[in-house]
Amino acid sequence: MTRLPYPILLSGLALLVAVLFVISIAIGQVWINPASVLLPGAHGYGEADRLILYEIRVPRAVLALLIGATLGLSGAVLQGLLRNPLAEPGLLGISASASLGAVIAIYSGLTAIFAYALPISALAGALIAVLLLRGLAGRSADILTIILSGVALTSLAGALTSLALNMSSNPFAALEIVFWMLGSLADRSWVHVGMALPFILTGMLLLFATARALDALSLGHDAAQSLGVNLQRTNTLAILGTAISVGAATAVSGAIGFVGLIVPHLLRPCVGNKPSRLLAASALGGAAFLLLADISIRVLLPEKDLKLGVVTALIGAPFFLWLLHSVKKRAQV
Amino acid sequence: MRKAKASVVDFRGVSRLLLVLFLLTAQAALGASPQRVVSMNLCTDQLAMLVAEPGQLISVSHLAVDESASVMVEEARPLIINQGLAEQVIRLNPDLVIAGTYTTRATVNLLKRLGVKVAEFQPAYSFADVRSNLKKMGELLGRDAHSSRLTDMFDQQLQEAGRTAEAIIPVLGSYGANSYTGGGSSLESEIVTAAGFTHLGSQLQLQGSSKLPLESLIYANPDLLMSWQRWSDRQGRAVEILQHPALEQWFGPQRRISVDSRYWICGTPYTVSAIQQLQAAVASKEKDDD
Repeated sequence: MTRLPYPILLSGLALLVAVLFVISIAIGQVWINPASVLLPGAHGYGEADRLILYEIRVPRAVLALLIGATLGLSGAVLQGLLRNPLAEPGLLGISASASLGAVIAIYSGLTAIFAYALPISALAGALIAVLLLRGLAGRSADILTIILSGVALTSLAGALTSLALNMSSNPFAALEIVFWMLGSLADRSWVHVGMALPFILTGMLLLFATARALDALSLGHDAAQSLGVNLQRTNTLAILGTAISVGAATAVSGAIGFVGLIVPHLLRPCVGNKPSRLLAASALGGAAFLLLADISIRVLLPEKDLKLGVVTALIGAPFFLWLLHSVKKRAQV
Repeated sequence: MRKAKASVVDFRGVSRLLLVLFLLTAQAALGASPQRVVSMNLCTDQLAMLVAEPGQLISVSHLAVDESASVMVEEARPLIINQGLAEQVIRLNPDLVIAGTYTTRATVNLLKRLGVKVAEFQPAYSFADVRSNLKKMGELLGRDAHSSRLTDMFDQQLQEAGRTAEAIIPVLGSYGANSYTGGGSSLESEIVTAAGFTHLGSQLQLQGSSKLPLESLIYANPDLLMSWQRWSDRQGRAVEILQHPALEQWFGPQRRISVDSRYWICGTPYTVSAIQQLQAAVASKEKDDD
């Protein structure tokens, strides 16, 4: 089987993201042709359409793109770093812990004093989760130990999130539990983009910086060290990069699972055995995947405000089970 | 001690049919009015406080003393506060428990199994429901005369509050936490209509309280957008939508109205205040315009 050349794969993915981005801003309660609103001299669209396009749909699509890229990229890095095919921010409890951080920031009143308290608190939650995971399963090469630690962490963070929301005096807080656990991009605004963007970009830069080390790591721990890779530095980059980018993403969208699991696995056969090549591809793939998921909830159930995490889990959970099965089979052979 | 009372209800007309229903469930069957009444629902709390004679109502729900939900916090304070849990209610040894039909279902079923008399109230969706709930409360508590006086006062105030229809009737929509708006055939639509406006939810033919995406709200474009004081300024993801830049750009300050949600939650005679406050809020906007 011939593989696509890497630059062509990346351009193809970028084109896919662009197309999905345009569809995403065209779709909503009514179909708006973005071109005819953006181009001067076009008519047929009113002030309301322009406002909805600029202030509601574009920020939503931008967030889907950024958050999808973050999740795809961090999934690829975590899988390479932990040499664990099941690693992913959602499954490892990083997203859930970030949600907890965000909820604490909102309901303690911190966000009222300082707007950036939201992403910062969320990334603190994510950082604690990553550090805990490294501590719990750091030395163990066992794939399932890490995943089970992640499961426990997810439950714990979820329970604490519910606790915090139930204790709030706000009568609507309890209804938010669903949002923080399943995620949504409905009616987000530029305010959220502005809040998350600097953190997401910083985190992604740190994650991309692990590329060379990941290639070396794929040969094994000792081989990597003999190649002169600073494992400590790689670890720090990956931990901080994941915490910062996933934390900020979760702060504005809630916890969205499985993107970081599915996307790198789908793309791995296309890039071969070089983890570094998987990074850019997974970022683009994640963006495309989340844009597609966000489009599909608006097409399938436009009135119901279906949560994004529902769609990603419907696709992701069976995929995870299949993966688990095949990992176990490989281990037996 | 239970006081025996003579015939509680007048056997007349339609009320006869209602009475037969009560005979099966309520204390009225014994011809005695209940003396240890416990209410477990914000709306029945307030109705009961209005109708009951002093000392008859011994406990109300915790929401009755919640400043953001209840109009009768002062009246509720001296009473025992319950959280709507069966253990708590049983310990109060009530001879009548009043609950809403949609809240604390498990507790209500448990209380019934334990042989406690429970009367359930439908939430009021209209002024007619307010009247019939008042009447029902009067009959249950043996305070018919008092409740019918309240009803008469309510009707009179409603009539005075009603605005003569103007040539152009502005459309008014509500927008609350989590993008919810009130639908048609609701207390909200009844209040908005009585105050002299067209209700957005009714116009859009929404059923009950519905989620209205921001895009749809902008397309529906009501003349006035009403949001709930007390709840809208709280922190939280649910109310973030009320500060969305698109909402603020489309509905300028002249089109935004904030009303006191306490008067809108429950179908009690206090809904008249909701009408008056809404009219005053709109009038002050119009004055600013001039």
